Amino acid sequence: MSKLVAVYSDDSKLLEAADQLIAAKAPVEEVITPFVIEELLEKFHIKSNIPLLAFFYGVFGITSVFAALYYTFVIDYPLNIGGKAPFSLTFPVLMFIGVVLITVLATVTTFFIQAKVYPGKNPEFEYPGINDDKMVILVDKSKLTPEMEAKLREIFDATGAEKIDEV
Amino acid sequence: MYKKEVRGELILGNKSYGDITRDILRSQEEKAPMWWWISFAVFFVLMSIGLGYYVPLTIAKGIGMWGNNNQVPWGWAIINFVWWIGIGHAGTAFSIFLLVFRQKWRTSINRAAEAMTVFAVLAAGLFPAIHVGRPWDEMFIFPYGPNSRGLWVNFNSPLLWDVFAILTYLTTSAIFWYIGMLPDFATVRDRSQGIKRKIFNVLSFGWVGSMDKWRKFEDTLMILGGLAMPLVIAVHSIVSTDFAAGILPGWHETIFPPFFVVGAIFSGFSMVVTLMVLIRKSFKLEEYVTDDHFDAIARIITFVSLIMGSAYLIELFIAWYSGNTYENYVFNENYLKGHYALPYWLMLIFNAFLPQLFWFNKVRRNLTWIFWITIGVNIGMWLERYNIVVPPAAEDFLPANWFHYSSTIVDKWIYLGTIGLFGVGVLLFIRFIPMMAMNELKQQAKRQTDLKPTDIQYHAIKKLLEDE
Repeated sequence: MSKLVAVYSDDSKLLEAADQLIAAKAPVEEVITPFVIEELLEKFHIKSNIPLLAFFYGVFGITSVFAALYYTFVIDYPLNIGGKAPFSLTFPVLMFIGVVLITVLATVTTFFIQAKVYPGKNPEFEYPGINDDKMVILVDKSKLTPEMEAKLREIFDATGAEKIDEV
Repeated sequence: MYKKEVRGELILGNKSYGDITRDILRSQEEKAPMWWWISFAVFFVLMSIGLGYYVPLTIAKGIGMWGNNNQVPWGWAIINFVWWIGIGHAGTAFSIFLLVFRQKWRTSINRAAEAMTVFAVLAAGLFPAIHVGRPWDEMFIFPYGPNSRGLWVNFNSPLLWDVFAILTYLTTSAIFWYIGMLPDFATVRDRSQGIKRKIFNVLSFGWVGSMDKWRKFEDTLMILGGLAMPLVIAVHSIVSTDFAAGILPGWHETIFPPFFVVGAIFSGFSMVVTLMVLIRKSFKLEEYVTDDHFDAIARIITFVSLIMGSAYLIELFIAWYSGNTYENYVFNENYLKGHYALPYWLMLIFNAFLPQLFWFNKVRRNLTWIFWITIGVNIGMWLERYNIVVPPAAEDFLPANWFHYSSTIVDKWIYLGTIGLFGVGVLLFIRFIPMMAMNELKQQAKRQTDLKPTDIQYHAIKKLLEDE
């Protein structure tokens, strides 16, 4: 699959190009940057459901830890320690810690699955400098008409792309 | 929004994104300096003797090798445990509190602070593990089912909470640290060849900075941060209940949870500063760790020191005001003028008085002063734990029972061994891992340039002025 690659070094020019590409309804496949550019994510309406999922993991965590504590300490084997009730206010301490542990592990697993990253994976796309000081806009050439391609090249030129490449 | 007018520039020298990569990776890409090898050798020897000889000796011969006795059952091991856990809170205090509160000056320091957390918590975890005397029976602390011994573990015990709290804290801190490093590992991967590239290819998990990945990365870190922040407070509050749930005068105090949490942040911040002074000097990173950074941290240390001083005074006052003879004896006799007066007064000097020098602007901007004051705080915080663990137990209710404590060579070497472990960990970290979060520094550099006029704006303004 052939891709059109526009390389930028200046994030303000990249953002300008992003505005024009969105206005031109260009089929932008991806923008790769060496650090997060919040404005870019806003322009392309990039959202994630990780916060919502984390909330549900928390609900699951607190319920399951409470259930485990209640089963072990109240139902299965109620210990009499100095006459204190087995179902006591000490539960929230372990419920809190349990909920943090379960939510952290589940959220990170979700991140790995959704972002498709795992140990030893080779990078999906490589281009010199994209993890250093270069920002690139990728466009799938197969989705471009010749007129659209010409228009995109014009936008890249006008916004000061350092290089327009094909990979 | 980040206000340069208020905070000053956090990265000096008009750095480009490429400059940031080169500057931060210099410590990895150039040969290790001689001081690195010498320090590594020293810490490695400490670690090998302390953990390689004296820990197995303790396990083989028992806790009788230590200075603990019937009257003072918790000696150096618990002092060191609490001290290391306190230092371990720095990473979270620094990195996560400042992340959640959106304090941008964290960027140069957070990575080193997080690394410190992981090594300090590892060092801390060793002490309870060997203090149980029979480490091979440690699985009984976990609730893995009642059938083997007829009952579940005691979920009401703070000592059990400690196990879960510390393991959760270690897991969360290590994950937070590692996820934050993925983009930087990718940077190192792209710049290296051969075996190093293969290693960093595995470590970077195939990271490419696409928009979707950045969104998920940011959200995940924020959630981990948000969860770890109350966890810090919980962990050290739980450590404090190890003492506060006891009936000993000097331990049975309601002030302990906040007092311990604040103390942990105090010692942790000080250790971060001590290390950052050394890292800045050694790698000439003055443009990234600026005087403004130290100024900001010194202000926090001053504030926390005042809280610590107030807590010490409240302890003395309540002991007198309560009218409890035993408690009054511990605080107003034993600490102030008794057998343990020296460590108590040294603690007051190091923790409550010395950091007040940071009220002076010149002191806050003088690295030598900052270094020695923070070293003093670390000594002071160790003495504080000594004062909590030993004196109340040594002289409690019945004078006939009183028995004093002195540490043995085994205690001392195990402590030195954990210092060796910490030192080796930190040295390997600064040599093989990007010691500052490059992706966050670049984001910070972008924020700074956003505030400066662009060339077009500059020329437009200049032309307007000329026309007028």
